[in-house]
Amino acid sequence: MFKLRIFVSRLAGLFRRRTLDADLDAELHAHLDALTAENMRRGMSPQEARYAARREFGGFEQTKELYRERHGLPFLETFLQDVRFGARMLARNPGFTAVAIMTLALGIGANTAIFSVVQAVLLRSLPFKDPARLVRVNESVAKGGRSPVAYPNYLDWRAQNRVFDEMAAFGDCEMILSGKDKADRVLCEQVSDTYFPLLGVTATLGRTFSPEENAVPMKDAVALIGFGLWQRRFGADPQIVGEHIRLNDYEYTVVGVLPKGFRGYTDAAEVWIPMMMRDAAWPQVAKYDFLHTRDIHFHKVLARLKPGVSIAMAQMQMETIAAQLAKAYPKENRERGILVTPATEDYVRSFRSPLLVLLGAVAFVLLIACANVTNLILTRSAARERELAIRLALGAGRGRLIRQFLTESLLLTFGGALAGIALAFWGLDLLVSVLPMSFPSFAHVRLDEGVLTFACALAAGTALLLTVFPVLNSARADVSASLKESVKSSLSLRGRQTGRFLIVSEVALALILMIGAGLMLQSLAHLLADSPGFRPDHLVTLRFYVPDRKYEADGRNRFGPELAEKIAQFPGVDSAAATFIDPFLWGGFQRGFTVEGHAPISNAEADTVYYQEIGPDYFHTMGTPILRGRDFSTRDSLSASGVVLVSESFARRYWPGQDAIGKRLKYGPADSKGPWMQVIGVAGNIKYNSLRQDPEAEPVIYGALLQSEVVINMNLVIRTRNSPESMLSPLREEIQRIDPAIPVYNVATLSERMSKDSAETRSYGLLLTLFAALALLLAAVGIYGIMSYWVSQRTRELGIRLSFGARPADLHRLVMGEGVRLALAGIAAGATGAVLLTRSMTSLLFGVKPFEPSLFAALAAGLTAVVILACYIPARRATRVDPMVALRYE
Amino acid sequence: MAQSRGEVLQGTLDLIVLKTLEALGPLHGYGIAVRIQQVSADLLKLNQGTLYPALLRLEQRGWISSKWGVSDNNRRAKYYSLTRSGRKQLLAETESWERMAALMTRLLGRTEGA
Repeated sequence: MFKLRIFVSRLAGLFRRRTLDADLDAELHAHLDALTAENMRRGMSPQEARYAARREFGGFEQTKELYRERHGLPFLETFLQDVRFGARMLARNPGFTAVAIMTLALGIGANTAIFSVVQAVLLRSLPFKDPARLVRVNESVAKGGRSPVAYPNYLDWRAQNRVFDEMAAFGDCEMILSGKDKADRVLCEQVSDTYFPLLGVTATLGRTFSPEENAVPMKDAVALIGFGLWQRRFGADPQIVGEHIRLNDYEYTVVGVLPKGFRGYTDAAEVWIPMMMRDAAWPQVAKYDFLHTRDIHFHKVLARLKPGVSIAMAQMQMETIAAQLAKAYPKENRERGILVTPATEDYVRSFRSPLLVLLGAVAFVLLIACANVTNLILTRSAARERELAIRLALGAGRGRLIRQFLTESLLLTFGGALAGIALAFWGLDLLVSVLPMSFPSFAHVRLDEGVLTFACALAAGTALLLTVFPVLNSARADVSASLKESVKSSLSLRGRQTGRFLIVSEVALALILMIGAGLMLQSLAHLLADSPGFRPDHLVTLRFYVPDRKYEADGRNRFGPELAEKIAQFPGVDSAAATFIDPFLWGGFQRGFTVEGHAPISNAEADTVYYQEIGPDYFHTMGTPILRGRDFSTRDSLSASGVVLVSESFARRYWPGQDAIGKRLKYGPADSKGPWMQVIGVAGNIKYNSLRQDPEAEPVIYGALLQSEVVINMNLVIRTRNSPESMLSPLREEIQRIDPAIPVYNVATLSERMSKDSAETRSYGLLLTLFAALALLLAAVGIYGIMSYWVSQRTRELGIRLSFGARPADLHRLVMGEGVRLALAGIAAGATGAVLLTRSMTSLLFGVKPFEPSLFAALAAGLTAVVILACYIPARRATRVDPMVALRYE
Repeated sequence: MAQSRGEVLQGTLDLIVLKTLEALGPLHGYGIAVRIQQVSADLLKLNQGTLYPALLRLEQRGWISSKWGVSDNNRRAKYYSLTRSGRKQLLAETESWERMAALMTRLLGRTEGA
């Protein structure tokens, strides 16, 4: 490789320049001497001989210069010269340098920190084999919604498709792992045998599931356990394979342990059982034959694309298959399409838009920082105009000057980048703690080489941006004018235009950020103010298992309600009730049903709503009104006829304008054999999944715990008289006192749950507000700087105006007018930008529209006030100009 | 446009220097210059100074190496000699030069014949 060898030799030349120069000198002189001697031998006089030799040799110094150019790296040399010179210039203006570097450090640091989160969450690939080819396959329903998959459909897809290497079905649920002394709550995945090979996972100990275990329902009670559970619960017992464990009161044989770090596709699982054991995992729905029923849409489906097959190609073929299935099973599959999406989307969907919004916000902060530093550079380059003119006059090329500017900007930005990376390094933990998002377990936020590369690229881009205006301005520099001593270097027209442009952009960028932050804060306010449908103060919730023992008759059903009755007698407690949901953590399951005398709204959208089971006194305890009818009572037991309550939204949707009381519905499709259940009451709407949910859009059927078919674990909700926080441990102790075998977990006050639920909105709001405040501060400082500079540059002009009769107030108005005009232009640009950009925030907002004119107006007014303030001091200075001094100025 | 003393063709100087070193063995800059002048019978107009950047270039490419020694008349002088890869390069360049020369001859011959 010649290039490298030459480079190395030249690089070496750079450091051995003196020796090389001396060497060359000696060599060339020896040559001249030899020539001279030869000439003298031919009979010339010594002097003649020397001249002739010189002539023959050619330009002595030129040769040396040519030689030098070859043996060093001229580009690197001038670069080093520029760096030395630039560093000297920066060191001579420590104030300028410090302010510029600090400003850039804030911008670059914020970008680096946010980018490290973006990289960890959005850009890192999934911890499975060849994740790029991993896709999720869902059924799609009319209006573009996606739905889980019916098992027979999955089997048909798997048999008919030519685009996937393999497909797998799975589901997940909470299970209770019971043992001799204690019970553990674990997350379980029910998976097809193809699931592990598809993800590229093999067992650390034992084996994964075989195809036979995925063939006959309830035949093979086998289980796999996760590495963490194996260590925690089984002391990493190497003999675990073949042992028995109890899950949801059903015995399984452990056949293997999965590798460390593997938590399944749900990223939370610790136990796996074959798909065929689903009825044991979901006893609630065990009586529906999911293997053969096409209208129970319950499963999640994964697939691996064949090499070379794109998602679009897979989507196309699967659509054909779906269309055939719709023709073959018109009743169940009408309007059922198919949706192939990248698996990555499942992990990043909820993070993408908030993180991109934050990334956009910090980019804006950096742009404002750049505008400020540009102004600093311009201010200084005006002071350096003469230096530049002299260098131009002495023959420096424009290119050489541009390189000088660029080098100085590079020095500044890399100083800023270093400080910024340090800032990001210290601030990253804080940022991650402020971000409440539960990132996937494989996402580690840290400053790695990718982030550092990003920071360097950002610094390089910033340096370029900082060079643009000084170069544009210098291109216009008038050499002869600048060199004339008498001419005061007044601000060029172009310099002024640059200043105007900077002010307008700073105002615009700051306004966009302020509007983004304002929208988030308004969303938060709405979220907190919007009624959840119950009284959240003085409410405690805790979850427990119904102990795994023999119960008489309906003893298991009565366990929860009876515990609630006992707790209601506890001092400091007003009332208590049981429910099987865990408020804001698990809102119950979706249940299909048929309303008597009511055709399904559409086949494609089977009537499915949230189903929650509750004990008596639930609505009273929650503080939710029963609008019509009555609550469950202890008489609504297993032996009585089936009854349900429905939410207000349910009654409104299915029996609009009618009384819901006495109406009947049954679970499952129209031809199901289930009994009719009578509606005995209508309760007010409650938010149970999240504060963001619209309960009107998510109706609920309430079943009675006393009539439940399956009772495993449930919650107590307890209304206290004293502060709920102080009741947490006494309540826990009381339950242990009543029955030490009851495992209690997830103890919290309802307001704590709700504040956690709104935490995301709060921290996005907090971060955006922080960035907006930073932007506003930078913009205010920047505008102040630009206006001050103008006033100082126009001292002479102002003096002339004064001496011609202008009053100080006129000058004040002149400066303020300029500032306000620019602010208004910036606000117009910013508002336009905001209208375009805030649309991307729609999914983050609650109760506000992306375009909120009142908010826009209020923030614009606030920003104008800040700009006026920033212009006020320079304007005051303008009024104090003494005409005599001003005219003598320079 | 006949010129009695032609300018050195770009790139030709390398070939000439390599060939000279091959023919005469290690030589100092002056010796190379004299040799070129002799062989070309003053047909080549060579600024002897331009020889040195060329020598540096060849050395940087590894085709020649240099060493300080003592000349015939007892003066310190830098001697250049051909390296192994320089020999290869000379072979390659000679070949390509001959091909080129043959081509030019054929081309020009035909033009004259037409």
